[in-house]
Amino acid sequence: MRPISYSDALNEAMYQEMERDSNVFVYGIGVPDHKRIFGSTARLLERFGPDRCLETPLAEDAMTGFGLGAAVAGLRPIHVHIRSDFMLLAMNQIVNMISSFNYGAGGKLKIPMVIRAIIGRGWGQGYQHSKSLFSYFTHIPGLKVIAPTRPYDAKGLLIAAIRDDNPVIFFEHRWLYWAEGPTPEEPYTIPIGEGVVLREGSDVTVVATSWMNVEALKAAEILAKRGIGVEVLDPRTLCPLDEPLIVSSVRKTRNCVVADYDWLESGFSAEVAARVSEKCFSVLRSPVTRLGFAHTPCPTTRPLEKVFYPTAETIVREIERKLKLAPMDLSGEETYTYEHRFKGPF
Amino acid sequence: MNTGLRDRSERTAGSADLQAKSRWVRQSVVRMIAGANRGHIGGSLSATDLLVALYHSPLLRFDTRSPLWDERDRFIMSKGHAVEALYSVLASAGFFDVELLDTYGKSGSRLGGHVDHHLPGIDVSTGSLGHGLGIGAGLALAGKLDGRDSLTVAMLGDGECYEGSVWEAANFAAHHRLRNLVAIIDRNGFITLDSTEAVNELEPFASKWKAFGWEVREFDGHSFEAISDAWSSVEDPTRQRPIALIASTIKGKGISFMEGTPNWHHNVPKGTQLETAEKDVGIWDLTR
Repeated sequence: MRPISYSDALNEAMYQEMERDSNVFVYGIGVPDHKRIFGSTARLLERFGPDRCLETPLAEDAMTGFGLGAAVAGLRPIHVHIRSDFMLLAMNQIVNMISSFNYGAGGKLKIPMVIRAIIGRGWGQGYQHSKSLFSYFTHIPGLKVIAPTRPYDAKGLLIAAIRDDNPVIFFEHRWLYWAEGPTPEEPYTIPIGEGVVLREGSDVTVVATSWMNVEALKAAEILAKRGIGVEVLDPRTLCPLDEPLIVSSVRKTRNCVVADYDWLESGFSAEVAARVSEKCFSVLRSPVTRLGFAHTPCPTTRPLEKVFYPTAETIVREIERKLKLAPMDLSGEETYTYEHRFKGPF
Repeated sequence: MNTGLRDRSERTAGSADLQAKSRWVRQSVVRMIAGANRGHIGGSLSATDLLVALYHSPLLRFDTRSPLWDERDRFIMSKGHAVEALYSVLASAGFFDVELLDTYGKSGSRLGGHVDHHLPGIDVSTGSLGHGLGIGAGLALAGKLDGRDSLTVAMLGDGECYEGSVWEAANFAAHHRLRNLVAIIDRNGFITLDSTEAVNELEPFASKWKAFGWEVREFDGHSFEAISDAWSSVEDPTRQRPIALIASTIKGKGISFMEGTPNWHHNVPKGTQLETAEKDVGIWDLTR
């Protein structure tokens, strides 16, 4: 396995799938432009031409309907939103049509459609370019929701999503695009609905989504210095959720923190916390706690952004509270920022 | 006495005055974007002459000392990315100090990269495309119900007209005969990185607005005579329907190597390109 970036892993997945199956095509605003969705759609226009790699007008709802029609007719569309916020314009198609089309057709019609949506931060994206909204989609029956963290997961899960006969929402964090990790060159799939333990530990389980896995791994590294074992669990697929993996981890550590890259209120973290409480109540040493965005629109200024987003430090402090430990000195620890980027390896 | 009140009924500026204002605004746009190392230069320069005509002829009624005056015309910069031109025009019209423009995009500034209603002279924060005409229709309907004779003017990008919400608003406005609603479309022919006709044809564009029940004028958006002539249809008392002013413009207007190319939506000129840009808009004449 070579180390490649998350962006290249996504690109390789699409390239190889488009080679394998001529029904696969990719479209969206900016898909064939010179920046190629932060590099993730590079080479596709040159190799497969404008019929299979196409620009669209600013018409998200109609363009999602276009994908639905193409999918019903046997093609395998990949629709890309350079910001997940823009996907909200297509909620009618996604929620009222695509998610339930197979059900409405008595199971006779397949909707093999992937909607890629980029979430995350840049240098100050503000409240219009920073939403995750995982739970908007995990709430809806008929949608599969994926949010991979490592390049390995990004490639394997995107290929699985493309080959899946159901609609899949595929969340990619912008800051992960720079991160490298070992990834096989040949095509492979990771089963949708399977989580992964990124780091083993015996004292507390951190169930983290997307970028929060990077922060959780950093927190685990810091806490290891004082002998605390943090188990970092990446569900990878948010719906269907790998509940058995989460339950077995929490049964082992008996403490659970959910670190979600999203707002907490009615969010995905609440779903995880509820399931852990239901299934692990008798063994829990502490209530399940949740970390996520402050419940405000995302601020643009750097000092307020620091308060808005949870970090490795937030996780460390929460675990210290949970395990009744004195706060350790974190002054020597560097946190990740736009300038100080996490570049892997995982 | 300068009260800050400007009214479209007292239109005094001639073409030469307006051309001088436009020249200043283009210089300001280049300075702001070069200073911040960020900005939407192409769409700002295509909209510059239209904005100058609105605020310096003036075609709008406003009071810079009382920006929230009830009888003002409402202006919505629906193509909220072209903020540098709007901020420059508002400052030059007297809504705030021109010195503030030097802070654009810098730490601590009130001037960020998209239109912000916290600034005087701005009614609606914009940037997310497709919303301005719907909000404008609401403001116009409210004005009609309140019996005000003020106008609501929304400036849209042509690429913005891909959004279905634009046409939903257009349909609503025609049904309600919102003759106090004006849509100005900055028809520079480009979206972010390609021409509108290559990405998804907008033409026949004027026919579409007409079919939606709007009156339409098409004109050269860089000619103050043509803008003024088109505006006479806005003020025509016999007009019953909302009106769309389709201004034919040039993306990057005023800077030789930017004009009519798709490369200057969000790029920042540097080095010799910046020198050429400064020379083209006349900054060099002033500084050397």
